[in-house]
Amino acid sequence: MGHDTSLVIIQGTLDVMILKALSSGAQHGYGISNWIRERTEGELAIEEGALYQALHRLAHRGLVEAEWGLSENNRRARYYRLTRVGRRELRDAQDGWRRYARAVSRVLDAPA
Amino acid sequence: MRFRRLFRFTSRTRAEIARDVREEVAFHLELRIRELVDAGWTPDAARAEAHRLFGDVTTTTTYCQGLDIEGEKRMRLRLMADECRQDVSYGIRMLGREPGPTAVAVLAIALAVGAIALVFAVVHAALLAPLPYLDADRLVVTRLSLPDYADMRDSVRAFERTGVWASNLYTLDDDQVLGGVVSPSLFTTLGVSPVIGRVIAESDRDAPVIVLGYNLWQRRFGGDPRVVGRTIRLTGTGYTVIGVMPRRFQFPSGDFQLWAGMGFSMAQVPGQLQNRALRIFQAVGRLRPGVEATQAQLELAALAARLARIHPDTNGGFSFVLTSLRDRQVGGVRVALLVALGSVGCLLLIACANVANLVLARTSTRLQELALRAALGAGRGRIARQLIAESSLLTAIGGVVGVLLAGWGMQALPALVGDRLPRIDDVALNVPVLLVTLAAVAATGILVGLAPIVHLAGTSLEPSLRGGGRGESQGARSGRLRSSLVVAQVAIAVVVLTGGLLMTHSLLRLLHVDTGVVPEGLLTFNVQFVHKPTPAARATTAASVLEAIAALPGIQSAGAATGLTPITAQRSTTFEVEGQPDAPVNDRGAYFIAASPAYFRTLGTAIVAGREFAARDAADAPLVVVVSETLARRFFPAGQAIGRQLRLVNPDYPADWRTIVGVVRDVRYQGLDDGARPIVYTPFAQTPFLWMYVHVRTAGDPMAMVGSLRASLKAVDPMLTVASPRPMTSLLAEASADPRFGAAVMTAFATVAVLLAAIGLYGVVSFAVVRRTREMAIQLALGASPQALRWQVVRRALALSAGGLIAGLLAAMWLGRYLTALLFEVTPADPLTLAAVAGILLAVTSIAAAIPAARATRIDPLQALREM
Repeated sequence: MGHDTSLVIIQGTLDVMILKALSSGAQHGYGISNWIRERTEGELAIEEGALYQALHRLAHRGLVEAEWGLSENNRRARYYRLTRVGRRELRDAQDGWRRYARAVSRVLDAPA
Repeated sequence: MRFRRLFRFTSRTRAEIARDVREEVAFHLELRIRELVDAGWTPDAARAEAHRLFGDVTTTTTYCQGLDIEGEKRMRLRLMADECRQDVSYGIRMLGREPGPTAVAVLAIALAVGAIALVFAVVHAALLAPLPYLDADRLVVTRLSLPDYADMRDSVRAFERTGVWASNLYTLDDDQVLGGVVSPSLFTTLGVSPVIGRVIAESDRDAPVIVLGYNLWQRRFGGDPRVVGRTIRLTGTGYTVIGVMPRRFQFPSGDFQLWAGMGFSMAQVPGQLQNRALRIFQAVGRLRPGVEATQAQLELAALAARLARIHPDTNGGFSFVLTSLRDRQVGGVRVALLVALGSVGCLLLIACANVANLVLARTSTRLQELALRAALGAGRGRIARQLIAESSLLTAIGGVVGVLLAGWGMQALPALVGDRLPRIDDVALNVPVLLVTLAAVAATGILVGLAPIVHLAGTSLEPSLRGGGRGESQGARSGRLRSSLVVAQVAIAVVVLTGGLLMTHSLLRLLHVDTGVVPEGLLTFNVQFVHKPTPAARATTAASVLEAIAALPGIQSAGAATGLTPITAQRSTTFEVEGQPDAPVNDRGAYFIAASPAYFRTLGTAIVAGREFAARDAADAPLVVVVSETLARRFFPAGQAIGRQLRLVNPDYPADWRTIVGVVRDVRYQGLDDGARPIVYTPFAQTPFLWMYVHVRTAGDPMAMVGSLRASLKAVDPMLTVASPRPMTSLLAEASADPRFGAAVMTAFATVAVLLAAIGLYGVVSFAVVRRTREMAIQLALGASPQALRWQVVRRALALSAGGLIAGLLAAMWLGRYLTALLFEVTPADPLTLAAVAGILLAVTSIAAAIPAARATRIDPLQALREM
């Protein structure tokens, strides 16, 4: 395993974010990285190497598939897209995450 | 769409994966740097910042490459499994398309595989599976006398332990059971324990104790454990049952039903303890760990030499023959079993050739389809795999059906072969049998699958597509391959057929042996005199019994002897002829049989010279003997045997000179194949044994007399029984039962082999006829006669067959040396048999070829030419 320096994000969160980033279409690693940074407004420190490790792990698990394609400026780039399994995994993870967050929020927002 | 799919299944090498990952990371860093430079960073600062954001490049690269390589492997496996599934389902479709030929092929393989499994299971049980004794491989046996045994036990260092036994017939009620008279050390030497009770121990000394065999215990005592401690009467004497042996204890063979302590038995006949010439005993020795049988053999040779010096009369020229216990138990059937195994192996090969031919024919007609698949992108390897999948499927189904057939055959086996084969109860579909069967199936699959591959390897597929039909060159090529297969298959069939005919020929010779007796109407049974303590009492009782029997209505004549033709001579002796003391000792051995008056008349044995025994040859009368023709011819070639003298060299009897009063035709005592042996007959009254076999010639059904015979024996002495009454016809049948069985099995194998080869021939000839339809149509149109065409076809088949015949006959003559042990008066190169093989084969070939040949001449030339 590569060493994760971005301990600030909870394990597995990065995977879900990648899946979400790919839910609107195929994307290469650089694009995903930028997509996440824009959405989190830089609040999450994600080491880009870790992002690539996560991508290859997802590919290995069959949640995304990778293919060489041509980028906007006509360069060979490695594109990732969700597989059917990946799409289902994203849905489950989203549901899980929302329930988790709701439960934690209820506890934290409740009057002491 | 900016995303373009380049490949569906990319198969990447290790190097490609490494490059891909490096490129991917490089692409990322490059874009990041450009973005930063666009935002106003200096190139160097931008590069540093991009690397900081990314983290350690090597770590990520290595990690991603590792994952991808592993993923690639998994993907490749999945692809292969997919292809395999496709091949199999394609194979199923192909086989289903021609259900008839498929069924024939499956059946041929199933029969051959089933036969292999069955025969190998028998071979395994008899020859390979360990005997049920401790370290059974270290057990060896040798035939000897009791004094020799004592010397062996005390002097041969190679043996850790030794035991000794002799066989003995006991009368139990009105039945005879075979038993062993055994030393207590026999059980410890074998390392066996009883299922209940105990085995015979040294402490039993002279007590009459017996251990029952499992089968006898079940049959006669219903498996009742309380039998231990009971006394049962064997041949009129009470024996205490002290134990029961396990079912697998069959020592020295499955015929033995009980074992009696030697102490008691020897006390009855003390002479045997001292008689060095009475070699009716067998010793079993357990080799010390690390000692080879050869060392024991050397020590025994030294002992034999020493004994020959000390006791030249009895041990001159005698040597111990050491065999392993297993060889002794299965020696007789080993060759037969291996021949059977070889034969079924041949059947499997022939079946393989047949199926290969079928697959080949199918491949030839399918060349177009295969070419199409090749054109659509299937590689040659992929097409080969498809063909292999098809033949594997064929063999796999055949193999499964074959194993089922074998399992079914094993159930029927005991009823078919009875106790003819050793350890038949142990025959089962066990792991070794299944492994060998699997190997046979795999070999079949390879042989069958290879043919179309070999065919395909040298064939270009494209012309088939373009030409639209059978390319002439490929047809010829396939024809050649199929022809060689048929030649091979005919050759193998010839080998099996030769074996079958040799065995049949040998059986016919055996059945025509002059046994020296007229079997019809002859009844035999055993009478025991163990309860008569003195020789005189035995002689008197025997005479009274025969007198009483001869007086019964329906009995034409009655006689008795101590041997039973053709089952056993029981005793043999060394003898010396007056004036010829220096004749080699090996020539001076003979079967030793005590006979009553009228014995030869009852048997129907011709008196060549002199007379047979009469009532006047009593105990106190002058000592006389009758000799067999072979003995007379050997010692009195001029034919003047009558009146000359002969004496027994036998510690049981005084070496008095006995006058030869008669010469009789040779009688076969030890089996039909025993050859004509010298035989010395003495009057029972002068040498009364403990038993006799009574022979009576009856007017009607021999077995119908048993009741009145029994009654007349009881009238003479209530202790006497009619034991094991058997008609002579049934004894003769029993004596030829094994060869009869062997010949039947081999004939069955030969029939199947020839049929399979005929099917192969038929297939090839038919195929050739179809292929040459156009050519023959032209010949017909040009005025060739149908007969000439027919002859052309048959001649081609005969040529193929002749090739196989010659190869097969050569192989059969070479392999024949393994068969010699099973043959009687027939050599493996017997010209009559080989001529019969050739005749049968050429006849079968002509028939197999005549059918397609007839079809060839019914061609309508015009139509055939139009269709081309």
